[in-house]
Amino acid sequence: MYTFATFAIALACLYFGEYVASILPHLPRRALPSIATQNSKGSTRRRKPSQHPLLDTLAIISAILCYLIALILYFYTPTTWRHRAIFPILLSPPGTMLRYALSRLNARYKFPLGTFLANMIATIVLAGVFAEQHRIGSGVRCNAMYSIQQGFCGCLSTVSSFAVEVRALKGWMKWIYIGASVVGGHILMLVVFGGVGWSKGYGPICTE
Amino acid sequence: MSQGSRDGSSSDQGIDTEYHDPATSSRSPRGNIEPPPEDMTHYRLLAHYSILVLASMAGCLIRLGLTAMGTYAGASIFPIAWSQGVGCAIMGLALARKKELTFWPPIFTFWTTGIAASITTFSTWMEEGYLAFANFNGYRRSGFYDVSRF
Repeated sequence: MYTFATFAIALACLYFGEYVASILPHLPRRALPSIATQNSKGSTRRRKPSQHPLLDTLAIISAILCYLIALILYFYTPTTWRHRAIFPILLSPPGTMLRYALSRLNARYKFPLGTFLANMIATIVLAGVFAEQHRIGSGVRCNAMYSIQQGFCGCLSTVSSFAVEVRALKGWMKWIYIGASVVGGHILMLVVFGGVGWSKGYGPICTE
Repeated sequence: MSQGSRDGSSSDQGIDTEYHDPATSSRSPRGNIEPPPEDMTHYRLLAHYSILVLASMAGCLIRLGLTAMGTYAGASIFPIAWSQGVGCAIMGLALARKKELTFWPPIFTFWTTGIAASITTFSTWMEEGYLAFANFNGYRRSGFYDVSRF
């Protein structure tokens, strides 16, 4: 029931977002220079590539600045909230980058392999880390476990791409994809998390 | 002149098939969340990756904030549902406005792959689903509702 509710919320909110897009005003056309070069006749002519080297440079600078600011915040903010908020965001960009790299696999096969792999890897890592969290005391290790869960695994796995792909797939492939992801995720949790629990036993979850 | 343009188009085609398969985009027009066809230079690819840093940090903070806001005594729904819903709504909004957003393709990556997908999380869904299924917290349940008794 938990699984069904989450899946229903995801699909419903996808349609809700599209509806919101239909009632919001459009972006001003003049701010979008490369839309005008779109091909108007015939599908053989290709659209001109949109070159914005200045914006590309700004993006790269923003990445460096983000890491700098996050590091500075991590070292100079009070410990009451830096472990819960700043440590996860230091670990989140590698997860997103790995998912983006894996998403290149999506277009090659009928099955969206990249998203599936990202979700499964995140589930395995989270199961292991969550099991470890029940077996250690407090301190920095506990915070690191929490941050890997929320930052790395949370950003590596995705429901929104999953919902979009489920909606786009046709026929049996849709049900195979849903079944493989949901049942596979639960089985991975059972094997890793349940297996450690049955063999070694669990204490209470650690706190900082 | 014609030779040059032909050369340009053929090299364009080569890059295009490497990064974006037109057959898949025609097969699933609504579910196409791949970046649009463009000439993917190394610099542009670097921009795609580096815009994801800001996006994932912001998305992760939004998810943590929504979870903290949804956690209170007597909550009628599990807290992670808020972030799943908000992320999927942003994804739907960005997909519907794809033509406008792709004036600079990394901004489309920013909203879909970055923000929307970082707010939502599959692994916490699986974790909480498993904990509910296995009755990990040991609630007292009568026979039919407790898997661990079988």
